[in-house]
Amino acid sequence: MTKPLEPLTRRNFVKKGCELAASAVLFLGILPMKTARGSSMTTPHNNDSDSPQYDWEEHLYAFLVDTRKCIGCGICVKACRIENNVPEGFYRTWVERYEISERGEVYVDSPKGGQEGFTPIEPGFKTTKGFFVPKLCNHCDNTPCTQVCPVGASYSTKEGVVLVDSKRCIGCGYCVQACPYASRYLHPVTKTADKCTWCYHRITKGLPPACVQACPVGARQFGDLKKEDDPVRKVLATERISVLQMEKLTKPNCYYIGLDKEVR
Amino acid sequence: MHEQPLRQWLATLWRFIRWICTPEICPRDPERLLRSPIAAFFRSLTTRESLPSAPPQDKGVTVTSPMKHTKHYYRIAAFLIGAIFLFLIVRAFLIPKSFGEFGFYRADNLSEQKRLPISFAARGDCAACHPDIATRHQQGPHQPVQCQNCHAPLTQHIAGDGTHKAPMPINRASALCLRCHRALPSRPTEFPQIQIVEHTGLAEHELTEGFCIQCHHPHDPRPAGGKHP
Repeated sequence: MTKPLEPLTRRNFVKKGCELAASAVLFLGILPMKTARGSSMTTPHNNDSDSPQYDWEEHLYAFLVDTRKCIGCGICVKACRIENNVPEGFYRTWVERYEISERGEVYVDSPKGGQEGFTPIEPGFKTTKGFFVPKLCNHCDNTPCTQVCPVGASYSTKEGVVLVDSKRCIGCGYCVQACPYASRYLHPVTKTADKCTWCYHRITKGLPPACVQACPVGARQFGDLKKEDDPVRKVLATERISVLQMEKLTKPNCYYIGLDKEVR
Repeated sequence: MHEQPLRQWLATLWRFIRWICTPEICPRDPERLLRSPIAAFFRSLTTRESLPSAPPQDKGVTVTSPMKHTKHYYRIAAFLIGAIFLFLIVRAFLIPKSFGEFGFYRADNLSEQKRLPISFAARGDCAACHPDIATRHQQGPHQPVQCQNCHAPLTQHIAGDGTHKAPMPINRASALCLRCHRALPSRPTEFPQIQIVEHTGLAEHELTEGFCIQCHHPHDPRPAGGKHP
């Protein structure tokens, strides 16, 4: 059955050598992929020189909006734009104005997202109830947006922050459409999805998000639910709170006090 | 975390290749291994002519070798193996190194996000150089309004190493005051708001720059007399 071996000529030697080398290269090519994954688990490099003490296991963030306090100055929108270089015409956070009459007529607007403040309007009825509602990404637990991302560019961190990796994002816009709160937009320069990060670069250094720090009346509050004496945690535990579009079952981590039924 | 599925996947693949390469022969056949196409394949690596070919035909007798058609299998197997290696290599290049470390995302993005520059310094930082203004501001009703709201982010004024960068802008426009204090039906009633015409006798567009701060110093806006005119 077996055939005698071909004599090993120089030509054959070189041929076999080349084949062997090619196979070895192919084989070695897949090795680094495996080792890189195996080793990285032991050393989580979610620590960098800027915030060496920060451990994301020790935090669970929540945002609280008290609409009864908001005066609609729009400083938060402006602060967000400066802090995060948000392009004009796009908003990571915005303030909506509601004016409602006794008969239930509703007027809603948000000129320039409220960043220049609000001026009086003629809604066409006598306003008996009015309020402002600041809005931002709800940083949901059940994220409709990250689920639809085809490339793993959008994700939730362990602290409950929903982020977008602009280097990974291909700008397909699925997440922009998936978000029921309209919190996302496609950045006109990078052409990638962009959204509120709760100022991840600030909160990981112990600073509050820019909008929270800018709010002059404390309508926006930022809290850490893993801290014992956190004021937001206390409010969530003791007061009557609601979330936007609860029926979507997205489990938002932005909580609202004093929401009206007209607010979506 | 991701090693186990890869290993299982490779094992399944290996079974599939073996299944493709093994013709249906009697399992009790002692020469099964030698005759198996896999053995033939490896023989073919060392000897050029070992690929099975039809034996010379005798007159009237047709001998069909069990190995006659197996060279098609080799082609499929070789193609599959090549395709899989190509896939693995392309995959290794396309998928970033830190992808999948914590979840279906690139873990390096976390530190990239953290490294983004901060514009607004912490609230109390201005007091380090301007303690007098800070004290006055802290005693007045504008205490909850941070300095950087009306001026500018501190990082525009002071560089990262503490050196002076640019003068802090001072906004004297009445529009800045009215942003918070213009009477609006949507504002909380307990918040101090002014009906512009009643308060100043002028329409809003007639308010010149610096009009409000004639009476109300922004750092402590309580009027000097303690009462509104």
